[in-house]
Amino acid sequence: MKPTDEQLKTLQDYLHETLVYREAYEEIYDHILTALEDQPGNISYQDAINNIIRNDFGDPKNLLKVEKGIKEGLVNDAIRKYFAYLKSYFTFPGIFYTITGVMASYYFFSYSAFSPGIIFWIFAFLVIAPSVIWLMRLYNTGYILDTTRKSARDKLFETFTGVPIRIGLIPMAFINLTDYKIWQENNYYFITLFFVIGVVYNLALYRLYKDEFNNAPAI
Amino acid sequence: MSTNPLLKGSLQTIILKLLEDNDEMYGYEITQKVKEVSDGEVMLTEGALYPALHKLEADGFLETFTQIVDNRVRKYYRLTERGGKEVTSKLTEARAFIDQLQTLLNLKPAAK
Repeated sequence: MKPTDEQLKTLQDYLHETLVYREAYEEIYDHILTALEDQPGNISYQDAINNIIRNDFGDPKNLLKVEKGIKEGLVNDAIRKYFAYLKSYFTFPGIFYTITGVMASYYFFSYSAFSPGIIFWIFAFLVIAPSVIWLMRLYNTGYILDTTRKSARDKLFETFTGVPIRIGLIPMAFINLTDYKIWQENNYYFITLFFVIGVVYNLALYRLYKDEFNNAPAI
Repeated sequence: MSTNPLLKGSLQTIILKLLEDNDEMYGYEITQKVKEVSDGEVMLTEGALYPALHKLEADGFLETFTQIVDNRVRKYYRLTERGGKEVTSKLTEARAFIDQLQTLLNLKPAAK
């Protein structure tokens, strides 16, 4: 059975109204249209769609349950990937880059003539960088995927974006903000430690963002 | 899925085995393959398939990629290296379970 453009539009509207996340929509929409090709030609389009939803998804109300399962799977997958990326900087061969980064950062901070103010702004950039990644993700969702619909991973990205702001702004706001003592000499180990943690956090988040669009061709 | 609860509990094993035999498959293809190999006796319904697929993906046993087919996104699943090892483990478990069941229900004499 081959649906007309109008019938396709009706199905798209129905699924958009029923489902929240674009990943669930894409998967269920493809499933229904593929299954439609195997439906007998002597029944109406509406009956064919009802048959598919009833046989393959149990019930129209069950679509939301299916979507919940899809969402949980995608979020868990993203969390697993994020921690795998983080871990890769502390296991072979990534650990060598991290150690090199630690030594270079220590040298950079202890021998550079940066004022405490500039070092403060370097850290401020690390805290804000996840928000930049978040904005890039929003832009690419519209530009590459040509949609503004919600993703099952949105909330997770918002959390990852918010963590450095919450954790980073507290010391910035309360620890010697006025005279930047924390960024001054004798604190280079501390500065290096936080700098490397910030860089690794952002690199892992950037890889997670790239992963989402790696296999996402535009329609 | 089929109303048989034993089969419901084996859904992940079935999916992993199908992907081992077929390299890469999409959701509907999996439902059809299960129907085909079971002569229509087993049908994946009640929305059990997609949550199971995404659970396997979240556990790192499956990876996905998408292709555009007829102007829509199609998501394909394939085994990861870890998933390949998991198939062997799940099949061993399934065989052991079937053997135990056969023994317990006196369907065959206990192996000595």
